[in-house]
Amino acid sequence: MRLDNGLTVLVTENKALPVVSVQVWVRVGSINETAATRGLSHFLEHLIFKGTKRYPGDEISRRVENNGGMINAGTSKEFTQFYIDSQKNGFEDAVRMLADAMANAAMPDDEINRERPVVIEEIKRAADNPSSELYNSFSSALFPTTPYHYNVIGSSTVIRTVRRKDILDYYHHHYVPANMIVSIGGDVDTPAALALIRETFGAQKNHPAPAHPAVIEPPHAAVTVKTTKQVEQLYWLGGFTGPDCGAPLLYAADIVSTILGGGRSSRLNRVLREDKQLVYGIGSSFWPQGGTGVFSISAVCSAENVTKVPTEITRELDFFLANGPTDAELTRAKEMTRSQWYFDQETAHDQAATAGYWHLMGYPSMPDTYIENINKVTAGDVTDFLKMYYQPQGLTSAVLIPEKK
Amino acid sequence: MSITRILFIIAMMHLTSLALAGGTVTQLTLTNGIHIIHKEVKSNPIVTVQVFITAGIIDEQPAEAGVANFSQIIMMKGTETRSDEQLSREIEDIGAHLSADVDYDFSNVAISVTKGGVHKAVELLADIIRHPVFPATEIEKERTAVLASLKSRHDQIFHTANDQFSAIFYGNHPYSWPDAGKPETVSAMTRETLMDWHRRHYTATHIFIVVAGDISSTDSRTICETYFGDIAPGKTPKPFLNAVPLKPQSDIVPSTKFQQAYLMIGYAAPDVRNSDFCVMKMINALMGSRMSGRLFTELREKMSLGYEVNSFYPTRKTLSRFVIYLGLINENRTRAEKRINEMIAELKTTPVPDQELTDTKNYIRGVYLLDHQTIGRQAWNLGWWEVLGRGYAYDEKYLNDLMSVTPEDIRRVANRYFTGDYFKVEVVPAEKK
Repeated sequence: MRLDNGLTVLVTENKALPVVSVQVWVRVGSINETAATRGLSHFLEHLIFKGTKRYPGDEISRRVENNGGMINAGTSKEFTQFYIDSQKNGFEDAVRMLADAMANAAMPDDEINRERPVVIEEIKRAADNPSSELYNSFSSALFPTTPYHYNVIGSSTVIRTVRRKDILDYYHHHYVPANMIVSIGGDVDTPAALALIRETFGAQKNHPAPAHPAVIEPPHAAVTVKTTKQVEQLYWLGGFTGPDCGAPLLYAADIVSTILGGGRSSRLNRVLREDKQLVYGIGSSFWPQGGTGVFSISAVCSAENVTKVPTEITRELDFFLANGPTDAELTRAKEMTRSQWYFDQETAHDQAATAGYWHLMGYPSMPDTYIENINKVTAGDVTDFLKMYYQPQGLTSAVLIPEKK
Repeated sequence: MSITRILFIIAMMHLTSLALAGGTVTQLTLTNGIHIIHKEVKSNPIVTVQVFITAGIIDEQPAEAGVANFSQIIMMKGTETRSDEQLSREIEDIGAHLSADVDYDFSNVAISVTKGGVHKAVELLADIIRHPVFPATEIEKERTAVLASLKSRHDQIFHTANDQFSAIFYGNHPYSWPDAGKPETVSAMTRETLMDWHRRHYTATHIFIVVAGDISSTDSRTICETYFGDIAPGKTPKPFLNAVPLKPQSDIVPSTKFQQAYLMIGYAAPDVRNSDFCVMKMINALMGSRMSGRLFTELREKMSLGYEVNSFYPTRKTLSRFVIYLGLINENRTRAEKRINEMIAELKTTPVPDQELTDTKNYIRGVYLLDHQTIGRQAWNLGWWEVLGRGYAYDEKYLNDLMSVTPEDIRRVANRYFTGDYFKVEVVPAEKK
């Protein structure tokens, strides 16, 4: 449902337990940033809950927890998500507070200055963590031209120096109803919930939604980025660009990822871990985005296998491309995907998040049609996916290599 | 009667009916004595079957540290009638999820599946539990992977600090080593040791099963009887080794790996059967675990001393610990420690205001409900209380006990446990040579 001010509202009723999830999805993330605002979407995510005139200081998080709930937020490249999961009786409070925070965050100077070192510390933690460092290098290499190139956590320099005025400008530009989705899940009555949303979020002024950057990455040659770090194992992450959310081969991408590296019976696990014993762990995933998607394979192995592992992964992909899936693999991958879908929809939070995410991506019917489309994937679709997106021998990758002691 | 007390009673009445609305829990017994805890939940067409084994890391000998975990990994790698590859395929053919966990006080092997696949899923689960063959080649392969995981643990600053903390806190007790064991014991572990662990602990005497989801109790009993009904009993379990409090000490771990520093401070704390258990859980909720907790509010929000600020108090069969930790810049360590000490002292002297306690209880109740949304978590929670010796029904009573904690209980328990010196581990950034 769309309100007059441009806000999209979604309600997924689920009365299994007296709990609710109230989520706000804002179309702003690191792809909307420039050199001067690198990391600002994430910094803003921290500052939004630092109080409004009506709920000063840490009143919002305090009230949520005192109502028996949890509040959190996350920033990605394409969106920022805020949520309150709570006992049912915290529902009204949750809606009122989120609505107020989205429009009236005060962000006083002292709060901003107190939060700067906290975020800088988080940037340091990310650098200390092998997985996040690896993902950032991979992502930068895979996306040389589009704004997916930049990581979400941003720049310490920007966080240290950005002025309050610039933060507020960024907030007022992006946090407008037409740029937001409110998604509610759990034990609510839809008419009452909609009335409350109209009274709160619905009262906010209509502004045009900001334009979004182009995010289709043109094909490019594979790149390998090697970093030496003081780690105990070799961490490898490689892959290629894939379809956007609207592409017909999206479903085939999920099936390919499952057959290749989606479980213990998957090809990469059988060959690289079980048969050749080259890796300690391996898996693949497909991550759809509003623009170009990401097909990735990750592996952890000992340093001596630094060349063998990517060679074997490429060999498996080349073989898959040439021969396609077996019938048994295709059937199994579909069953695994269907079953995973049910297990991913058990909580009020997951139901609201699925609805919110696919609306944000522009494909609101996805939750209703996903399984149907998975069922339709043929062996030909699987091969077509690989032909279209995978360049033989061409994996862009990032490697964290243990420093020699 | 105070308003708080009345509100609490109303809330509890509500909760009792909730739990009933979530599905009735019944206990059944197979012919060989294995207990089945069953909960029917029809909200989704899915079923989980979780086998709990009463043996965990606590039952390991120092020379066989890691055997519970290693043995469980190899159990998944082939049975008398199915190779590793066949097992993986048959499990994934029905879209089932197999999971296995080793905890300090117990072990767990579980399978979750859409309801149509439940017969096949339980057949596979029983095959893994009853007929593993421990192939020598798989043992060598997995040994390398376990050793690698023990090594890469220390790429994470939390594990670096916590492993050292556990070592000084527990000495030689099994709680002192990581769940995967120690490099030297895993390197030396023989096939016979792994098989012996399985033989001794995966018996009708040591296991019970929790079934939850879209399945009736009759079907649960029939299926479990078919696949588990003729497992033989084992020897009476030996009593577990009690952990005794050691003399507090401090340790500094210099590390060239991390930019940040880490501070961990802790005291001995009551075990799960102790009458102070729920009070200590309340102290943990009051101090850490959430943004409006005292530690986060004070150390991160007010003083900006660190990003990651929290506390934990693990539920344990024997001696536990209450630990406060934070990731921070090196220069802030002394200030942070001083403030933590002041906050501990305040718990001992100043009664927690009624409103703060009510709020904390409300938070706990909400977290409890949110944690019971999936059938996996519902089943796991029932099994968890059962295996820790409190009985599955304690899953509901636990909340009642928490809700009756008073400010005086908190002051009393803080004075009992937070006395004298504490254990401390600091990870500090060191210059590379």
